[in-house]
Amino acid sequence: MKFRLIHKLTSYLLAGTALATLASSQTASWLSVAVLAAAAILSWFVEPDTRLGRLLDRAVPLLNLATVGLFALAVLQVVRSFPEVDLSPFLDFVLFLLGYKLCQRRGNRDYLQIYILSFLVMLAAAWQATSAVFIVGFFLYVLLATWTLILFHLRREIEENYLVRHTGDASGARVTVTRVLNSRRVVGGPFFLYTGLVATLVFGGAALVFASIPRVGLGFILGGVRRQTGVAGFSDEVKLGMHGVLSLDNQTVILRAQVPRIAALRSDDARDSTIASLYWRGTVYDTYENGEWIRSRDEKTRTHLSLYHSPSNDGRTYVLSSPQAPGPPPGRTAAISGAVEQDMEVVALTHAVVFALDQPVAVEMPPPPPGAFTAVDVEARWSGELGLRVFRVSPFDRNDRRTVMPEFAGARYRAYSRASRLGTDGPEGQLLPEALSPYLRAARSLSPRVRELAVRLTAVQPSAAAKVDAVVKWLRATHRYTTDLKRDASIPDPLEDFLFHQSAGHCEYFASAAAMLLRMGGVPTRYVNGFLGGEWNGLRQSITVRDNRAHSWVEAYLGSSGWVRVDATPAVSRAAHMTRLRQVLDAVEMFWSRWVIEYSASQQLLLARQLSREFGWLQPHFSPRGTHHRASRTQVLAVAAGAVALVVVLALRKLPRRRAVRSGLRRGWRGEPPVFHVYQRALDRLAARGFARRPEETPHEYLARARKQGVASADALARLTECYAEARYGDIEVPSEVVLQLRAEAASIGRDS
Amino acid sequence: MGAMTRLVPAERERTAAELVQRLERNIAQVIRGKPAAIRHAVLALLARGHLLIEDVPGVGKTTLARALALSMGGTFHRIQFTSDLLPSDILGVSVLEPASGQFVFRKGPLFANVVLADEINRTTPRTQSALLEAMNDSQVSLDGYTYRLEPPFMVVATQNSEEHYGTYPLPESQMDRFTLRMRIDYPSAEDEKGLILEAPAVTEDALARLQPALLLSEIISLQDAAARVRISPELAGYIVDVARETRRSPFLALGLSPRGELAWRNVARASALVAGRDYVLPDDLKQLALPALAHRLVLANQLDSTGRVREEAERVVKDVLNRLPVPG
Repeated sequence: MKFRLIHKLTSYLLAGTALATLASSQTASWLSVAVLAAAAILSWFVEPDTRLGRLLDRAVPLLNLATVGLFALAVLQVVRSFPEVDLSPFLDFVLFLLGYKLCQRRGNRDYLQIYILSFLVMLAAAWQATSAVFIVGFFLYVLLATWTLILFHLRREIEENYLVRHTGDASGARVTVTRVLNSRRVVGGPFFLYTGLVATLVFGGAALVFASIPRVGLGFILGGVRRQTGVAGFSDEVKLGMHGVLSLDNQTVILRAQVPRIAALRSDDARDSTIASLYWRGTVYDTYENGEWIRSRDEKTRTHLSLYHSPSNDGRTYVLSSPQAPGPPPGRTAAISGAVEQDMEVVALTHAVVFALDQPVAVEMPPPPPGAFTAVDVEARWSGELGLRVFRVSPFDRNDRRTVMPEFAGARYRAYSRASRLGTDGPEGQLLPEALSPYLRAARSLSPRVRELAVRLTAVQPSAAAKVDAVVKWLRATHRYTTDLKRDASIPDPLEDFLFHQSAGHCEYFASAAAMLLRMGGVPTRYVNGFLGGEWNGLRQSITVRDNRAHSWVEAYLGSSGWVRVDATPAVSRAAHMTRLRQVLDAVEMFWSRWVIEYSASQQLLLARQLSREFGWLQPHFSPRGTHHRASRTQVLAVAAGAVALVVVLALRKLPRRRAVRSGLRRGWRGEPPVFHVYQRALDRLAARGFARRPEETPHEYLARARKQGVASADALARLTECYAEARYGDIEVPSEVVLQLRAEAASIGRDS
Repeated sequence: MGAMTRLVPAERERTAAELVQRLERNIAQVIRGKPAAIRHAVLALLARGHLLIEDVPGVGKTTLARALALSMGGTFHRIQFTSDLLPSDILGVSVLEPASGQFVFRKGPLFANVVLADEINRTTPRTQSALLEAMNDSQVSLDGYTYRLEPPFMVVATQNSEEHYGTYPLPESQMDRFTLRMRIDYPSAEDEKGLILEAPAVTEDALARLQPALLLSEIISLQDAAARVRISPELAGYIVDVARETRRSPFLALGLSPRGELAWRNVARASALVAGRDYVLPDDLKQLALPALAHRLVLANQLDSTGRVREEAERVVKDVLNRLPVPG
């Protein structure tokens, strides 16, 4: 490839990588990214001397005006967003500048600006990156940046310092660089290989620095700048038909859970079936009206939380109890004994809600690790729902929890759950009708025929449990599951439409219908949003819950059994297994989030301890009498390996640097001048074309013969011969820039034009 | 040898090339159409060597020699070699000074900067040999005294290659002392026509009016510069290879002597200097191989004809050069 083209290509790839990484981190809006991508593609064809280029030149004043305007706008936006500083307008401005510069690639200065802007874009991506995709982008960026900067430097050297003298008495003249820039021989495969190796080493070094530099968590100090990333499957209120088509393709990971009891299962089949029936309970609603579920926020329904604070380690355990349950709340030990333990990790959620297996009985918040700048806590909400809160931990007062972070991805907690079971139905008298009244409220938007239906289904049933059974059976028998929703607009309430006309819907409809019918039949119900099932990742023994597993169900109050889960939706089979690739990707993501995003001082300590255990360092080997401890074999091996690695690194760094910076001005094995190599290459090429230099021929005789035979670019050969002879017989060093030019010229020797 | 950068123009060599050009232009005033012959003559001079001009009569051998001598200034003596010429006629003789009663050395015609030995093969080998020491060591030893010849000292000899009767072919040792043996050849038809059209006395007149183009000191500095021209070890190896090849050749009774190698090197250096270089190219060597080497070789199958001998020797040299790979 031509040198000029290689440089252009690597520059574009650099900008493209930065942009793609930005897109993957979802920091910038899709619109900005798409517009810039389009501009970048267009700009590839905009060369200064083309028609497009000239057109753009005329638009420069306009573009400059737009630049100033956009900058002012960005500043204004940022200032207005104060104190919750949102820097994204600046990012958009940077993206605009990048597009502008890509279209205005006139000289080296523009290229340099493109690099700086792409670096800023990369920085923005790094700021927000929560996915391991970033590491791929980052590696590519380092690789491309190495190439691009070397090529850039080389190009600048060529363009700005290219003086050559053809004869001793001639004055140095600037050489037209077009030929050199168009040469295909300036850089080749070995250049990319060796500099690529260097880039890989740089990358490894960066990772090492990242792991070893003490963490101070500046990112969280600047909290608020990070924007919300997650997209969960449901919003704060449920609107029937709004999420008409459930996105089964939405693979966004919402939660990860490690459930020891499930991990301990022996057979995969048992595990799969168990996981498939896991209900991850999230938001709870009590009021339905006109196709919408909302929270009444009735104080009667507020979740009771009892806090057990462990002063020794600052851990907090919250035990849940519902205001409707009879008796005092259970103690911590009683609550969690025998309950299913889950270590939850929030990956992406739009709403700060604690997710736990149905039914959560206690939530344990781990003590903030040393050096952590955030702590997780919960707050009581309604109907057994718990809010998740992330605080910034003040370095001065660890109990100061006033500053709530808007960011809660990465929050961890441990939940304890106890499966609700249909037990023996107690007497109705044990219910507390007062507390349950919000769960019996029927929607006014429903017409009387719904009540008629409810009465018909439930009136004959002897108990609440039987009523639940009847309603669920009826729903499953008469309605079928679909995500392809139809809606008869003449019926105002979508639920009624579902019940009497469409006879088909998804979980939201089934759950809403069950809740309403049961309420009208006298059974208190509430509507629950969460996730059903998950995917088992054998690599890291955890369950991954993705967005496409969003589900809705109902909880019915059955007296002494308390709130019992009722899922009226017909079973829909879903694959519970991840493919191998997805398992690996998921594991990588988990590793990334644990060891990079949330890499903290405590993890650093952990890592150091692990390493020290691995290699036997940092072990107290002091003997009381001060005798020298004999180095263990692992220590010796480790030091030796380190030394070897260092030597290899140094050797590799030295080799590519010489080759890269001198751009292939190779010396022979015996330290021959580079021009020898160039000359020999030219001879080889000519020989390959059937015009070999005879052994008895001097270089000049060969040149004369070449001229006589009309070999292409004989003038280039003449210059090369001249310089070669000087170096060969006169021991005169040919300046490297001259060699570079000769090399570029030599490419054309013997080539048919 | 330290590497030099070529961006520094070599003042010395440039001047050398100019001086040589001036010299050659001066000579060309009287010898038209023979730049190669003039060049060879100049190279022999710069190599501190001696020149043997060998050709048929009437092509300007003497004119060239005279023109060269005149152009470089300094003293010039012409010795017409005849069969009765004695060494003392060339070297000089010690005579008794009656006034002081002592022997005083009277310098012969050899004591000059340029000595033209015209028709050198017409004298006896005895006299021819009188030149040996002078040509090799630039000195004359006589009656227990050694007399130095003032530099620059150059012998330009001419001989008629086609004449056989009444001539004494130069002995091998004598031949070896000539740095270059050259021919002039007939002028081209064009030049010959021009020659005829000119008034008969013009050439003679021009020769008489020829002014020195250079100072003697300039000639000496040119010779010094030529001696400083670099020859790479590879090319030295090449010279040795060629010499050994001639010694091994079945066509030759006597191959190239070390003196011949040195002479070859010297003219190559002079050639490089004239071309404005301070290093020798293999081309310098190859281009001068025939005039510098052929006359030194003794054919195994000695043919009686001088001309045939010459052609045969040149053929052998060419053959050697075509078989040996050039370094670099």
